[in-house]
Amino acid sequence: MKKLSIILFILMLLAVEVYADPYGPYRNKYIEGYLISISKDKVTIEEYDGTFHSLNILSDAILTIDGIPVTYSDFIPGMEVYGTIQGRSIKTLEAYSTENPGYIPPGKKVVKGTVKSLDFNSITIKLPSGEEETYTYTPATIITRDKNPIAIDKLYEGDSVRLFFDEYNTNTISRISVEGDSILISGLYKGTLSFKDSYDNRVALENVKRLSSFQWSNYSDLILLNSNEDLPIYIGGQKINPANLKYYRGREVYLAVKKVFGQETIEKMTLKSTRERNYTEKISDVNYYSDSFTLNNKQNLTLSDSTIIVKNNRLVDKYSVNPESSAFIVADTGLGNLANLIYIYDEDLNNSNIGQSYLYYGRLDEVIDYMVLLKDYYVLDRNEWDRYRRSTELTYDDDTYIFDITNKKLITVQEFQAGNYAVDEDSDYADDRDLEDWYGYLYTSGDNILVMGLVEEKDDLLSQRVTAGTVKSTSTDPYVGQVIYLTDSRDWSSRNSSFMPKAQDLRLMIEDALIIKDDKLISKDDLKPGDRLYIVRDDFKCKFILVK
Amino acid sequence: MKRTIAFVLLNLILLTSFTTYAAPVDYLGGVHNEYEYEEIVFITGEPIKFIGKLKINEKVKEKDNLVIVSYDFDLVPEKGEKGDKLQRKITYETVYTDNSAKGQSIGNTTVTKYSEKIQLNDVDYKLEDYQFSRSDIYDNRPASSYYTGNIKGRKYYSINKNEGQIIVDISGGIVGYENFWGRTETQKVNQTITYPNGKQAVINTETSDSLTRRLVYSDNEVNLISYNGGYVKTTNREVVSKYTYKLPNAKGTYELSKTMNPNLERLIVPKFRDVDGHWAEEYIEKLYSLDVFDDTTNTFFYPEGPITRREFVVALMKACNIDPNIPEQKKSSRRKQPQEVSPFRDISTQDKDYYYIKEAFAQGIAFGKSGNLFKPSEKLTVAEGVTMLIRALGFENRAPNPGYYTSFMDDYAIPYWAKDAAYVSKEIGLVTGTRFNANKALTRAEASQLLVNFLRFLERDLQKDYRENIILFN
Repeated sequence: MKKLSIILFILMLLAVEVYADPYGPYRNKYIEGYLISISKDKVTIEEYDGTFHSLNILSDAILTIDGIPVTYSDFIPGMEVYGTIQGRSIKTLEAYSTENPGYIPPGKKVVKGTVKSLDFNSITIKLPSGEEETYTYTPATIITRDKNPIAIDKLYEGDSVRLFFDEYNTNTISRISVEGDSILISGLYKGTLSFKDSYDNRVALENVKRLSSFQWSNYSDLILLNSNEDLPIYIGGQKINPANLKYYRGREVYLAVKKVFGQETIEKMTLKSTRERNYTEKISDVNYYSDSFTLNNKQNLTLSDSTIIVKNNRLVDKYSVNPESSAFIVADTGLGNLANLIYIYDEDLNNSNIGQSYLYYGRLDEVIDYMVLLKDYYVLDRNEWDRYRRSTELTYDDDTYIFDITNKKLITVQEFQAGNYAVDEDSDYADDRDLEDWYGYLYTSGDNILVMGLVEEKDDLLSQRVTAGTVKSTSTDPYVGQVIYLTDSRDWSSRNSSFMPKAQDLRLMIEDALIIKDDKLISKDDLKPGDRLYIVRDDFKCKFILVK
Repeated sequence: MKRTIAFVLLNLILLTSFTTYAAPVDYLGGVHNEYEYEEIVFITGEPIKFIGKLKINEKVKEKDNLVIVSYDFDLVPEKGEKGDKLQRKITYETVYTDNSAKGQSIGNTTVTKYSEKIQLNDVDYKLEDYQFSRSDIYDNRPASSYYTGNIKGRKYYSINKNEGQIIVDISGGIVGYENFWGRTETQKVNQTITYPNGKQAVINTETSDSLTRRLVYSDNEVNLISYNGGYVKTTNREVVSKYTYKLPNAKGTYELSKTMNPNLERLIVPKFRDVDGHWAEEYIEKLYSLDVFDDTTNTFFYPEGPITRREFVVALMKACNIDPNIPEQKKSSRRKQPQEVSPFRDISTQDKDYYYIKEAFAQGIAFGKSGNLFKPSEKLTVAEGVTMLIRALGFENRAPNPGYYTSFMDDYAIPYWAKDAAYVSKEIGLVTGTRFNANKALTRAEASQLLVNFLRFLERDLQKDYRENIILFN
């Protein structure tokens, strides 16, 4: 028995030896297995079959882990390795370690650019290289501006954004960070070029005029504006070599200026080439291929990279110049009538074509838990009230701001439900108390009411009109309460289907207005100079104000 | 031993510069230039702008790896009454601990001396106690160092000695970088002020001190002169801050900004005969002005010729101002010094570029080719050039975990050792386009463009990321 065991053991050892094939790696020119030890010039590898091999490492051997070049000290015993062999030495040695190939920490991939267009699930960005890329967003995409969360439809063309991605090869945005107020064009100037100081990047202008209420008005005899070394400067559509700018002293220039870190900084600059003509017109036709457009008055003008195009107080590209746009245009005469400046003054309740904001007005026929039945209601559509002779259901929630305009007080959802804002007018209860349904201005996102303003008496919507403008100042009038002065104001004209600019500042009363900013009700004291407003007003009295 | 001391000294100089230059003063959103200092003070419950003089005193104690910074403020309110003033003296001490094996350092800062008195509308506010702690980690890469830090502090003020107490809590973070072409430190600090009546205020400040060096072209006004226009190295420094405050009775924002007078340095002028009108003329002349190309010829640059590995490495080292660490030759100690051994078989220690190439190897920028050969005369490929630049930035680790594909159409042709660099170069905008052309030999003109874009990244792109992206975007 003992002899048999010894024979069997010897046979087993022989079997292993035969299976192990200690010369295989040298014949096959490669070795696979587990790393046992490694030094600068020697490596020991245990093949998968259990054979141990000690091999020299060639001085020019390529050592990699997961495809990344490494030195011998980066290898850790126990790693699975694959090596190619030259003679009896290792020529290349690879190991594998990564558990999550292609992984990046969430948000590590960042793309910066300017919003070119928005769609219901995608956003197209113009990258600093000039290329355009389209990315998708989902309801989970976080969007912030100035530390505050915003909805995607609050973005504008021309907004500067940083997109964050959680995977290196994904197209789906996880977070969008939107530049705050520093993106806004704070002023459009015209002046005589005095000098440019290249060393501290400043441009001096003389006899400066500022575009205000659609006309150039005197601003300052001399101003110094910050610039940056990359600022392209154009004349007649051609780029000027910055070194040659000194030869253009005494020429008139047009500037779009932003406030960055509290300092006025030139964002775009173009020189007047010939003589100037100003138009305040609606655009009837645009041809992007020939970079030309026609105004309602049949005037043909051209566009170029040099044209300063401003829309919603943001610099935009030529594709934002659309037929039906209304604009203040400054153009050269001759040379194809090149437009140097296009200030588009269209305004709408929504910031983009994906906007879901609506303004309703109607009789509160019924108020039940989280639902309002609006009867014989109106919807503001393209700056005009459209009447619907039927009822509609709109929802509200505990986050809805409900403001009793008549009594000037913010009320809770419970007070709204328990109050006499919607009554059965035929009931004895209403009859005895002389109650009638109230009316409301309801600002909604889709069918969901975000802010509700309630009035006891019906307003005459026929006498209302939409006005847009920028707050110049606010003050308190002893007779009518809080008033605002608007500059760049314009009224919507149904007949012309266009905003009609006003040459003077406009004074309006905001005492009884429903004022909304970022989908929240704000106080009249929160309005500040520079705010762009979209207003529904009845003559002097503002009814609804949306801060854009 | 001497080497160690020299290393510590070098490090201290480097670290000192973090606090000396391009770092906001104190942690309260103040901005300054050579002449005056401005800060918004909220201690009364209203924003009040103070303006005045600031003295900064710095001491470096090399022995203890210690940097002492003292600030002396003497301010008055912009619109105040006679007698209103703010006087503050604060000393911070930072101890640096170096971990040279990992290329990292840690700086820990505490406040050692403080005094502050504010007089406003006949009310005296006195700083009774100030606790402060700041800790930073510095990652020192060849072309640039990067750092981030955290701060926490608390101040107790008495009102008219015994009429109540105001507590100011400070917490925040710091990011910064430093390289030859720019330095920026941006602080994001939240102050919470608790007033004696229990009401609170929150003030968020973002403050950034940024220095950049750029080349500005200066044309000649005259014709009869022996050279064309040339470049001026211009150093600009700007301190900006943004306060967003919510006080018991007010809310709003303030933006402050101060710029220093630029420092100008004229550079040598190129006189090449084959560069004028070339598409890369500006890039070539900028680099020549910086003296990054060898002066083998002053007449012809040969822009369409290939650039060699040696030329590119030396140009990169010089353009980034990376110290080649040339040892001083001392007659007395020459005998005792161990014989210098070159890391590459084909670069002798007597080679004119030996120290640049050795340093590039030591800093992990260029590892040479197979068999300890540097192959200095070989044509530089796109893959080699881009890899060296990304290694100089220390950005290889910004690539995803291995096992990914770059977005270049010719990803398959990118060598394994250049993959991370190719990916990162696209991400940071150093390389654009759809193809990487990894194995294409770079011309001297293309290499000049690549290097100038790289310097621009060090100067502008880092500044934008560390300043604009933090303050303007949030």
